Amino acid sequence: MLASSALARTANLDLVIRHVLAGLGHGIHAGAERGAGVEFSEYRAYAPGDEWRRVDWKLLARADRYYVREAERDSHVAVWLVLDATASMAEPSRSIDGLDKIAYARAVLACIGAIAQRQGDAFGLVVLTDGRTSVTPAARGPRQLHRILAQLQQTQPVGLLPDAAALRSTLYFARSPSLIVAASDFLDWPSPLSEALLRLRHMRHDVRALLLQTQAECDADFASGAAFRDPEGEGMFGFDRAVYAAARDTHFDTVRAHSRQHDVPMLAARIEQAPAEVLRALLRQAGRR
Amino acid sequence: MNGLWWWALPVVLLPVWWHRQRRRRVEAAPLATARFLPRSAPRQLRAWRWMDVLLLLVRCLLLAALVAWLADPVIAWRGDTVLVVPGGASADKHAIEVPTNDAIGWLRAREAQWKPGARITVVGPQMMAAVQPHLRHQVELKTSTPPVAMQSRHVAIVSDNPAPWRALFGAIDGPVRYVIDPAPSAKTDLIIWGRPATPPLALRAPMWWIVNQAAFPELLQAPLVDGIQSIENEYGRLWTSASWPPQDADAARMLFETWHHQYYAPAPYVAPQQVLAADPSAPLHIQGGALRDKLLMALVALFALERSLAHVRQR
Repeated sequence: MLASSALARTANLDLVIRHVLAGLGHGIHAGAERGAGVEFSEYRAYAPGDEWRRVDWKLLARADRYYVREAERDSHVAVWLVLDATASMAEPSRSIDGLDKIAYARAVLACIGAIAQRQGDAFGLVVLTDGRTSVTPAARGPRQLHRILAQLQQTQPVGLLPDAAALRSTLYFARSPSLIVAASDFLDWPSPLSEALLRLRHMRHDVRALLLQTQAECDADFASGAAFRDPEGEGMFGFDRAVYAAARDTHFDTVRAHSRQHDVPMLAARIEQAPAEVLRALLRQAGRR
Repeated sequence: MNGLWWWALPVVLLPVWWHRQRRRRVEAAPLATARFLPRSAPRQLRAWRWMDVLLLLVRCLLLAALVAWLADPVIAWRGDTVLVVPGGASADKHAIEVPTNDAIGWLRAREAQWKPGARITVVGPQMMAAVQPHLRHQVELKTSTPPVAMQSRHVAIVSDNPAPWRALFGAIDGPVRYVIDPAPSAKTDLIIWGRPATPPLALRAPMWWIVNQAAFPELLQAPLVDGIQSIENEYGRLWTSASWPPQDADAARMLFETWHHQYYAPAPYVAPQQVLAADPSAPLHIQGGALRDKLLMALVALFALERSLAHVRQR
């Protein structure tokens, strides 16, 4: 039952991770890359940007050159979790009480973080909320996982995306090769977030987008007499099924075409789906690359 | 007429209307994908909310009091009552002292103030009504006759033959005593003039009985009413009759009755003790004004309160 869609409602992300990752042993990318780790693999020449602590000082004394120890188990790939926590992400499921897009995004990103931690990758978190960007720098280990989970848990969906300039200035993390997983509803496209993702993709990072929708959005199934307002905009809207379905299809067709064009794989997921299922689809997609 | 003011009572709804606040917009549910929907005009929600309930209440009361003041309602609030006519006395502390001897007439004008079934007792010399009074309440007359006050009237007989007149006034008994003055004075009520000469101009009296018409030949041209010819001149009212002095008791009584009837108010006749049964079909006279003072005070107090509350709200 916990593997079902209701799991994403759970506030305890540890519990979500434990249940979703049970039997989901494989990682998100091939981990047999060289990097920092326990088992020594080889030395390589120091390059600017390498951490000083990985420099082998004894070898420096002997050879008068900087060498960096490389280990086999760890990878160089940093996993960046990008969470869109704007007001529109508070959209609730109309069929499952207590479940909304932000909770679902938290659950999926927490699982990805946990997988990254298991396979020794560094992972960080970028939260876009209320016109601000908060970055948790990438690091490895269980403590980092707890930091990230705490950060995820305290994130509330408010406000708008940061503007493009503010977001661009935080893309410094993209120096080393990274895997970037962005969970959003992508209702704004183009948007500062979409521009940042495409830019990262052009910098040859592995960028993946998780498009979160609700079942009601997919079915265009809302009360026809009710009035609606946009949590990120102004004005009143009356429901018209045909208009809604047409506008939605047009928008997401554009989004998909655009992301395909820039080689950013996008997985559309309904938040009523089981998180494990979505995660598996996301990893399978990754495996294809 | 005053009762028509009650139709103005719906003005009380005006503050209710003013204090009603319409919520500006329809409660709109947030929907992330609302941007895919056509825009609609903000709809007004027909929700009633109340602002400043205390002020609203005071304003409604103020208007209601104003309408009531204009309508001047009469409320039946008196129960069993004792009415004391001047000259009567009652041990009841709540007895009402009626200003006239006609307590029944006084009561009839205000009868709407008494509750149905209330019994009313009239104490004192209630005067006898000309017709049997019909009231909606039972009225018990506990009348008492006051001692008759003696009155005296001064008569001056200027005649060569005063004996028949003296005999006439001497024969009269009753509450009025006639004093025969030796000569006319300022106190004289009646002068009987039997001389042919015209009296001196300084002599004045309200009533002259002229026995010898030679003194006032113009009297003979005056019309004859009930056997009396009468004129009014600078001396006063002059009467004459060819049959004077009256020759028998009936003629004398007739003369005195005519005189008193025309120039003196009749002495009130005290009604006998009796119980006037309630007559539900009797007309109910409504005399307002009983609550006007209280309503006016309430109006002033409510107005002051309303102004204070409105001032507090504005700050």
